[in-house]
Amino acid sequence: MMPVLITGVGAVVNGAGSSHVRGMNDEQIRAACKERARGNLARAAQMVLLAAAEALGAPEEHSGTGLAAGTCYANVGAISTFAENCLQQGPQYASPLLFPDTVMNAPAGYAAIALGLKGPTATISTGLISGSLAVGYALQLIRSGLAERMVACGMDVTPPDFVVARRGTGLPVVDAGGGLLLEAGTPGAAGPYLCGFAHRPGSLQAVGSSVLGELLEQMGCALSDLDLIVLTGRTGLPDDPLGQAAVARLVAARTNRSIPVLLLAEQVGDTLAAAGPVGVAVACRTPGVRTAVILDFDEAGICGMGVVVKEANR
Amino acid sequence: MAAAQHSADPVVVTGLGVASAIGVTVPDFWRNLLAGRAGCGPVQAFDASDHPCNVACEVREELFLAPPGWRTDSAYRASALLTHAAIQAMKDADLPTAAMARTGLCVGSTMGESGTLPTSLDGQISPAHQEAIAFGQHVIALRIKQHCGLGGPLWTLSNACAAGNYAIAQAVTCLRAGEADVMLAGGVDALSWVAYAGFESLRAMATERCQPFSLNRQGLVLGEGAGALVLERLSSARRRGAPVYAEVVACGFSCDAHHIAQPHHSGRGATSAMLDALRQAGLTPDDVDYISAHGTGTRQNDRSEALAIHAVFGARAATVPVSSIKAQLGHSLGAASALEAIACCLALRDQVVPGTHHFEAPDPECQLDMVPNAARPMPLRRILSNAYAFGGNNTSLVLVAPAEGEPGV
Repeated sequence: MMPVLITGVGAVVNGAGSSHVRGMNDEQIRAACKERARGNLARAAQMVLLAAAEALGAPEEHSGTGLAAGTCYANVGAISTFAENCLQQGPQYASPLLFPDTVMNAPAGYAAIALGLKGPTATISTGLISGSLAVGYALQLIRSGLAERMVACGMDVTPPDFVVARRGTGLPVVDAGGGLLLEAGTPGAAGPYLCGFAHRPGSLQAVGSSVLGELLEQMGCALSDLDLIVLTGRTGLPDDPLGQAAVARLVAARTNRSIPVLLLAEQVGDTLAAAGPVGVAVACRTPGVRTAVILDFDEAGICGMGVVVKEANR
Repeated sequence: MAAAQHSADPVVVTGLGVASAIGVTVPDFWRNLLAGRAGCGPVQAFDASDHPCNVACEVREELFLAPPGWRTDSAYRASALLTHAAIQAMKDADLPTAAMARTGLCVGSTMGESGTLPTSLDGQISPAHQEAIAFGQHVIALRIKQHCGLGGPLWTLSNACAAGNYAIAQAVTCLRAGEADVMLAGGVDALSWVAYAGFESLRAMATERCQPFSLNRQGLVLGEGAGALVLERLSSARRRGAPVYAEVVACGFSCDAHHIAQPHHSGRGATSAMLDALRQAGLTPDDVDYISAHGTGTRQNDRSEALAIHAVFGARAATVPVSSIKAQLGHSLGAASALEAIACCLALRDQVVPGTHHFEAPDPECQLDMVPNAARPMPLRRILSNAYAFGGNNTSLVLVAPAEGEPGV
């Protein structure tokens, strides 16, 4: 299978962040976006723009680059805002500036305009694993020769309180964006490479082990070779319904060394559909990590991504 | 969608299902489409008395194959429409029950179920609406998976008015990757006050009727509906003895990166998507027999699509037949390109293309053969189906008639 290089990463949260995820307050987010885009962008568009821009690095010609973005809640607040505007003004006087944000692919559209991305653009909204699926979507386009460079992003914004309560993570939810710049591999490049991607319906408890096995096969390594496992979802609940403890037990049982397991949501908050790309960014930025897997999951299924840093010129 | 040229095991369409303003069965839909019947009438879904416009193309026949409770609850409207179309498509393809375990679903939608939300999101809304928000747009796919017992991959793509083409392309990708034996690809949107008021705010709506590419066109008429296609590899269809409607050969994509709600004035993104699709399919513009246009009936969209067709087809642009069925179905947003792909499959089967209705006078800026006001019998082998969306997203799908010797429908 064609190796795909990760040539840039970005990760931002509206909060404290961590050593590998940039934390920004509202004012910093607004200021950073104003440097790149006209007008006031909605929060979802701000998140995808900042993550994608960080992944792309220095401004240059990006017209052949595509953008795959995943989100679950990008338009919920915008629908509410537009509805209030309609009720106050009457439908005939509703603001035309508010309607586009009610459409789920508007954030990616604004980011594409600001960054000049004219390649294939897609918005995936397959629950909280949407960011990871955006990575898989971009990977597929590159491997099939339909795109040379893709920015794969996950972004999300805090949904209404009753949704947060229903999710019941007990962890703070944060507005977040994660971005990866993916390109067809160059012989001899050190990487990091995105070497594995797997997507299955089912819970982490039920299919986590087989997804992990599939990833390791694609990556060409054993479980004991891993330097880091990033788990993106909720944790700390008494019954651990998504099975993170099961993964930890599996790793402990099958390896004779301790592999660090990073619980992303405990580090930076629950980043919702941004979690997958943010998790990959964290793995790429963690010193000393040469082989890592990122497992992203929700009620709709599980996604795994494998990152390998190769020796240059081998 | 993986590169398709000379595919050893092409992906083919073996089943179709619809829920539309002009019919909730494929035979009715097709008969009414060719007969020129339009599904436009006063808005039923919500009180439109204080809106500048008050017509829409709604699905009025309550013959849904979805669970009874879904038909009347607005939080299930889109799920019910697509379930109805999906069940039809699976019956049409004669899929055995045992196939469900390896059958997946790709859904394309603009608003999901969220467009039918009440105006308050303060938690006082019904449990079904709360579920629709909590699971996001993916709630439709999750409900259909549960109702139909699907065991394959699930995707929801939210590329607004081009979402149906995105869903079809992703279903093809899943099949080529071997992730499923059968994929359902569907587009759906229920008529929603959010979209209705939104397009009004953009001054994009016509007050009476939609007249794609016609000189005096006023804009779009909003609609609703669902279209579902059963896709499988040709080897699988042959093994089952399933008749084939068409081969899905390629889908081209591009982004204008220009304006969030308007196409680029030159049609450059649409041009790029059509050329990309033809390149993937190994075809030249001369190979295309018919273009199913996005054709919303807005001044900007139709003009830029016409410019793009001229850029791709050159001197032949004035003679290659082009039509838009949105005059009859309205603009059903995420469902639109799925319903248009279904019309293309039926056109290949019956060797006749639907006309562009309500066409009065040609627009000098849209010099195309618009197949005005009546269906046209003609030899058909290869079709290009365009769909464009907010965010500057452009798609062009290539559908080809089954190879000679394959059992057609």
